[in-house]
Amino acid sequence: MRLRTFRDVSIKHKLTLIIMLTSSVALLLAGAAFGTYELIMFRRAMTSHLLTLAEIIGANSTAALAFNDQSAARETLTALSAEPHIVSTTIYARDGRAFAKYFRADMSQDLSPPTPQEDGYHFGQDHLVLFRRIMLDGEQVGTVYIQSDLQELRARLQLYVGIVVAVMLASSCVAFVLSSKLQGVISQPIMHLAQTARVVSVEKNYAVRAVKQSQDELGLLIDGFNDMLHQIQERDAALQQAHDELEKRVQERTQELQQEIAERQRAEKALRESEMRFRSVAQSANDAIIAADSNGNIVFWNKGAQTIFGYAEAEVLDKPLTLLMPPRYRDTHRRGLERMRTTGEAHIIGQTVALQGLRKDGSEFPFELSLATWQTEEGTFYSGILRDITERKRAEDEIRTLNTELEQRVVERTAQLTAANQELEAFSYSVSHDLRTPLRSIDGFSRILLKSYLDKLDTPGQDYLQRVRAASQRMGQLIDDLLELSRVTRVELRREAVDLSALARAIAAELQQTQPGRQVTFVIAEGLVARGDVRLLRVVLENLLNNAWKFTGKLTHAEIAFGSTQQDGRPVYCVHDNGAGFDMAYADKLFGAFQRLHPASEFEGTGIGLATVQRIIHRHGGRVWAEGAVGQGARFYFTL
Amino acid sequence: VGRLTQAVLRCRWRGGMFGLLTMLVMGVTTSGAQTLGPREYQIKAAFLYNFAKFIEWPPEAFPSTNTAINLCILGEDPFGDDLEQTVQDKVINGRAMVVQRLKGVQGLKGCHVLFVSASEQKRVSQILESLKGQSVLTVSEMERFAAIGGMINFTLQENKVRFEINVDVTERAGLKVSSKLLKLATIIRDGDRN
Repeated sequence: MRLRTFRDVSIKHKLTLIIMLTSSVALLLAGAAFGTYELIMFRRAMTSHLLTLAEIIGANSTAALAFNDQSAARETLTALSAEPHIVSTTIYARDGRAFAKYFRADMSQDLSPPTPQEDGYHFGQDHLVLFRRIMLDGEQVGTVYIQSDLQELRARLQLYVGIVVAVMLASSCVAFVLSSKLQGVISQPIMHLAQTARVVSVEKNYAVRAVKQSQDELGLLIDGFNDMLHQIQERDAALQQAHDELEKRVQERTQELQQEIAERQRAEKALRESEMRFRSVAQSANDAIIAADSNGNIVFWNKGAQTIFGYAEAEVLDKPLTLLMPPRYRDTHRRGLERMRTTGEAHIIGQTVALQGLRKDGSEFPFELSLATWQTEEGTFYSGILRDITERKRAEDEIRTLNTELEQRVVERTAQLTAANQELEAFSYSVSHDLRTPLRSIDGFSRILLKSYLDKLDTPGQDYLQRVRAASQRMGQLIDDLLELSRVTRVELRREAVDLSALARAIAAELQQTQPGRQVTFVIAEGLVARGDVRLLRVVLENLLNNAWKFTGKLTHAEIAFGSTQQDGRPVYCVHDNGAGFDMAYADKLFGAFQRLHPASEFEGTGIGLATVQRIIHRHGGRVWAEGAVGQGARFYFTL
Repeated sequence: VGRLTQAVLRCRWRGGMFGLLTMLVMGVTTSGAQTLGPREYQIKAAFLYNFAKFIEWPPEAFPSTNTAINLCILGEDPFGDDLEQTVQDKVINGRAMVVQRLKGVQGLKGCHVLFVSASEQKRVSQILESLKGQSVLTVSEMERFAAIGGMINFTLQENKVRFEINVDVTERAGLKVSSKLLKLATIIRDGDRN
């Protein structure tokens, strides 16, 4: 036998060995069990047989014992010669003496014990001995002793062992033949599986499959194996795919990263340039630019600061800001800094404040400060831009002085102008008033001339006189208007609620009466009430409606409307007509005194009306304006 | 001498009376004399007792299941105390054995075992005649007792007590004698007239 452990033997031989071993052990055990059983049963049968013999002998010996007949007892014992295995037999009397004896023919000596023993049997090396009491009617009359050899038992055992050995040999042969034939059922698929597995592992070929031959566990195993192979194949493919994708992604990512790096380099470059720009700007600024850390120590100092404070950069870097302050401000500064550090409260961040600075030479000066903070990983920083405002302060002071002087002068001048204006008003009023007297004379006398001396005048004379009268009347009208204008300026304003709608309706009725033949449609909105001086507002509406009446005089169907709209939450009143209109180019001239857009021959008027309107509206704090187009009517708006 | 021996032996009988009795019998048998002397009746008393074990009486012989076996002695009593000592405390087949000594033939019919003493030799035929049809085991020690209609007769052979049994008589009396007993006995039939 080769030096191989059972473990390494082929499964084919293992199966055969296992089957043979199992069947042999089973047979051996069964044989041993049956042998033991047989032995026990045979011994029991032997004992039982011997006991029966003893009983028979005993029963047959009772009379002999009772009547002390030894020869009868001996005779009884001779019957034992029919039992070849009985070696010797002895009947003891009640008193223990040997009453009768029997030996087998080949036995020469007495093997029986001299005295009887208790009931029982005992297997010796090659003997079975048995004692049995002989009873007669409940009384022991003697004891029988029987000794048997074990030849029969021995012969039987030998036969038995021989049969077992023969059966084992035969069954081993049959088991070997059968297992050799049948082990293929199990080993063949497994070996096939092993072969396939080897092909897979050696060739890394996951496409091969084991062939399923049965539906048992081996079939399941092969199914599982194939399934596993299938999964491995799929995973392999998936892994390859994932690997490819990963590589692609790595490439993409690398490209992205390169781009990012390039961008970052660009950004860094831009940042550096920006930083340079900032530095050069900061350094070259005329203002002082100072930055400090959260402890109030200076970390940046530009040329402007050097110019203003007189310290070089090296002198102030890492020094506290209090260096730059007059001593009386230093405590306030420290408290403010502390408060900002603990609460984040900052009163002056983002604002421009004016403070006092301390130069290196000890002189103080005013400056303007705008403060900003920024956060970095290293903490909070403050930056301030300071501007020396000594010059500006001085300029401001000068301007203030000048202003004061100027205001004083304005007040004086206003007083002078007011006085002059009043004088002018008085003058104008008196002139107008005084002009009336000669004018009335001219008008009156020329009327008398026309009345009383008409027949004495020829036609041109009458015409001239008529012209004189008309001129004097126009002059009178002119004077009235001027007086009105000046009155409007002078009169005191009395504000009250004025029903503009009613006012407009009354004026419209009056106009209708002056020329009853005209077809004019008035559209007057209801309920327009405003606060103002009723007398002056009547003048306004009279002028506007009169204008409308006048400039629609050539139309067969005139329409005049008065209404209001809302503009910026305030009422805007409007008078409009469909009359001659005007050119918007001249809109700003409409409200000037003595300004006329139409010749007097076409539309009569003094050119003072709209000036009066404007003055009244202005006195009410309102605004007046006009819109229109030639031949398409005019719209006059006013607010109060 | 006999009395003295009996007195000595009596106290030893309490332990193993029958064994001791048998030993005495053996001692007697080995003595070799034709007359066995006083031990002869001890042996015969034991035999009388043992006979009851091997004889089966018909059921009508006993009024009830525990009726005692009456052992009657008719005539001169050769046993002395031996019979009483032998049967004392013994039970045969559930029955005790009672010894009765009869002077006349009255009361014979109540006996189960009747020992006819040698003194009654002259009246033996009459006695046997009176017991005809009765299940009484008759025992004696007279010559030709069994031949003349008795059942068991003690003999002495080679210094041993032996007995004859007339099986015809026992059969007529309705007694069944065990074959074991018969095997030990000399069988006598009615025809034997020796």
